[in-house]
Amino acid sequence: MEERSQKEFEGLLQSHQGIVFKVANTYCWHPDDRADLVQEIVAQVWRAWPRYDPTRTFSTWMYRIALNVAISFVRKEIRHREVSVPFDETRHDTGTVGDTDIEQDRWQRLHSFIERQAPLDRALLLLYLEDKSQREISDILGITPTNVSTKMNRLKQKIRAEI
Amino acid sequence: MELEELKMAWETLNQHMKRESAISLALYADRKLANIRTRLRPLFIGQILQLFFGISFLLLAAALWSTRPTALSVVVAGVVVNAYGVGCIIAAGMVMGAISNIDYAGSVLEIQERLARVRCAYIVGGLVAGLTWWFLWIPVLMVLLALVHVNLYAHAPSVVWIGLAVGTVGLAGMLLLYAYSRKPSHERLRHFADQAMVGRSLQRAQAQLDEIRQFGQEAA
Repeated sequence: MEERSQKEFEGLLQSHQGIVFKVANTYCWHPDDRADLVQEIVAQVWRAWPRYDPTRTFSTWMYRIALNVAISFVRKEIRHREVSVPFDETRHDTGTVGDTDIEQDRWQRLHSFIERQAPLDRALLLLYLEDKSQREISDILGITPTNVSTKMNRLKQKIRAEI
Repeated sequence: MELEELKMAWETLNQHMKRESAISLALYADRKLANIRTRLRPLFIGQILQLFFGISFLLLAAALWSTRPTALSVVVAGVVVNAYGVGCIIAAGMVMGAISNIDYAGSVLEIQERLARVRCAYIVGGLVAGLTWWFLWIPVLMVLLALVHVNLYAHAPSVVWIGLAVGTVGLAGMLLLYAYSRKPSHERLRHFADQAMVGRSLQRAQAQLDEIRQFGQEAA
């Protein structure tokens, strides 16, 4: 029974791994930190798994855990290090074949924009970029749909002004 | 940047990061999932230390009770030390219980607010536990001396009274300085008081709580 549960969990984790990676990418720039955060998210998702209600959407459930873990992780890292890891182009694969200069410029500007956002705003930005509905965002973040709508409008204005 | 371009940039960014980090979830599936190491337990570790701290005071009190003290001053000192130990254990247990009950599957705002509140409670608890040492050293000293059959109050009552007076003056002085530093004209003093008394941890925890509450408020 437990083995079946673990198999089911692993299957769901594999099919939703994009959530884990994207959340980790949004909150950690350094590859080692990212690997640690991915591990932390998987650990907490596995711990919460026995309480998962199958009538609810798995992706929403997973987003909640991943974002909660990522925000706590970032806050803890900031407390301990007192500094954030700045974006370092030399650490990133900036010269990938197939990317035009315009594409590179776009994703680097987006990268530095994400880096400037507070942890909760980053969560909103991530969900917006992932095309989540207003209702889903409201459910994941725990704020009213009206509040989501207002914050989204402000975020779009900020993106227009800063990117 | 237009919306479509932004989303394309987001996908490209994720592709880059995924490639460079080369993390595979299959790695985790290969391990026993239950044994995955977690680092989100710093508060929990702090509470375990506090638990042992409380137990050491209980052991000190137990050692005193085993000598069956009869002098009232020694009994009172023993009760204070015993109560401090119990208080430390209860406070640590409450925070540990609060941390264990946090279900990360709750909504982001709810869980983050709960975590920030636990952290604030933990820091305030630590401050209270620390401030009591203005007085606590006296009963601790009395208990330690009673264990070697010396009744401090009977032999040198002035030490106890002077200690209590110094504690009262010291604590009152700290509280007055803190209240004085809150005046708008004493910016530098407030900064000093915050650093020295309240500590940056509490300031940071409160700032996080404010940030979370602000995020949850309906924007105008």
